[in-house]
Amino acid sequence: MRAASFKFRPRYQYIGFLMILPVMGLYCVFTLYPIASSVVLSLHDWSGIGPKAYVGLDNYAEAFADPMVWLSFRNNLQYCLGLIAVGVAPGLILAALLAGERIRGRTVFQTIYFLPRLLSMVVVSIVWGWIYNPSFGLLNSIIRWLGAKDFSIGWLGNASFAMWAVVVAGGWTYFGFCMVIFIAALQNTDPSLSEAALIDGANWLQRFFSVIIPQISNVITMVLILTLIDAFKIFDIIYLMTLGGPGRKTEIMATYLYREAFRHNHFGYGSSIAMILTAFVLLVSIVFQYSREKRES
Amino acid sequence: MKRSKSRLAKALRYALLLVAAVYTLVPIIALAITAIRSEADLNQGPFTIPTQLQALANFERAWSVGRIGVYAGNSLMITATVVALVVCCTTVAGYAFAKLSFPGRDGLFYLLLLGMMVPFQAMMIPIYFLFNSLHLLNTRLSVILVLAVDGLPFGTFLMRSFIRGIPDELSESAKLDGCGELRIFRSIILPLTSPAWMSLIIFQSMWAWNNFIVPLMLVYDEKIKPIPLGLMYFQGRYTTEYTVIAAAVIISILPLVLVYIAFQRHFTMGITAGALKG
Repeated sequence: MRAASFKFRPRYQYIGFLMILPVMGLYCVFTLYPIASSVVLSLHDWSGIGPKAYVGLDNYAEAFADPMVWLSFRNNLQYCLGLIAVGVAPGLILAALLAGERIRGRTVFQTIYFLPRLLSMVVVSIVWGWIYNPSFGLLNSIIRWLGAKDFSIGWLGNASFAMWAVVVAGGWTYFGFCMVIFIAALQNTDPSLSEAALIDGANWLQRFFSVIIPQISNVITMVLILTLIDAFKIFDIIYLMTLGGPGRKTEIMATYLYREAFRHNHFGYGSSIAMILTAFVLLVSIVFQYSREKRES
Repeated sequence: MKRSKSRLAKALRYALLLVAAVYTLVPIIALAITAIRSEADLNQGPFTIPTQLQALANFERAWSVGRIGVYAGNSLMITATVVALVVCCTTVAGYAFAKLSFPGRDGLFYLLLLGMMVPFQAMMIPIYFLFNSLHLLNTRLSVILVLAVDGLPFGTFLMRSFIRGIPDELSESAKLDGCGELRIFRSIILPLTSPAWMSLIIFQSMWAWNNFIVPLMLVYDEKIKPIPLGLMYFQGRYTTEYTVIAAAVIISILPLVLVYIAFQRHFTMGITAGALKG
């Protein structure tokens, strides 16, 4: 009897619907619905109160003609390049140093490098704001101590340095994270290759470029893509450290659209910039996902 | 000759590792030192050698005048609720997506994954007006809901991949003994999922504790601000009270740092997995 009922049990377990209901319900109300509303809102002019005026694609036309959109897009790209230089590259070097031969205190080093990742951007902005302070900041003190006696730059208020100053603060929280990913990748590689290169007399640099990097090139690409996506999603660090200033030198897409929407009440226009940002991030993710699946198959 | 060369290389490696460690730690150490010295002593600047210490007064002032106690309480409540919501909802949904079959299962799962790729900016503006029309602006509930829902796609993804790894034989035999799906979930799957919870809990707590933009948009009342927002306003109001600000910052990072040191492995695993979601 039991065997018979087992044989004829229904193909579908409809209780599954009930089990995904909380997740899917909340997701629909607080994620899908807002995304759809953003799309709709981006086709309207709206000040936040009163009726919405349908304007078709005018907001998008305006956005693509808006030099501020392009400037902030470029600043996002600059942030990305900076993050690769002060985050991904040091993370890769440290991973190679730690994953190679036996290193005493490896866990301690790893624990330390990863530590800044725990801090909220508010904390990072306070600490680095002090480091960059023109009168008492650590950075100027070090430069003065090195010999430039009357040296003083307000790093975050300086048009040529502000973005790089923010990038260094961002990279400080990022390189340890990259290192953890690279170490995980290196642990899955074949150690005999590195040993063979060592026996052949390759020095550390040669091994780094011709053995280590090629072995984890997939992971390096992944981290670079992640960095690109992250660099377009950032908001906190810019909002807190420079508010886009000085003179919009560090304005990025997220701070620009936040200002347009919540400060100038251009909610339709802000939404259209948000949609452009989203389209870019999705495009990068999907192209990357697609090319990875293609390579793996 | 060769030996001395390799010894030099080794020394160079340790030197590099040490430089990176100093670079990482100097801002944090400077912060900790600032938090324990006196206002007068600091007039030489926050990064000089301390001579007069007054840690207790700084922390006391951060707690009372800086209201860090209130902010931390709000953050604690928000974080705990978000984590509980995410863990409960995603464990159940992760099981359904991993082990049950029902029409449209994979389609719904991919729809959910979309939420991991879309940046918060894509939903930010309507979320504000949604809570406005629900009369929930400026409540802890609004922050909790947004933070929790933002964690659902990744949480479900994580739990689903973990539960898929649990062999079917266990539930099959229970089924032969006449257990229903709910019973199988409760007495066989649930006890086995706790290792995945660790990563999820850690990742979600850090995310909820540190999140800034959600309360920035939704909350303006001092009494319900979580700690990142509170810190920002405190720093804006008392810009020059460096010692007290530093003490407040230390209070805000202490819980995470302690958890990090205690559960280092889970922590890096959880956060790395969380970031790889994109």
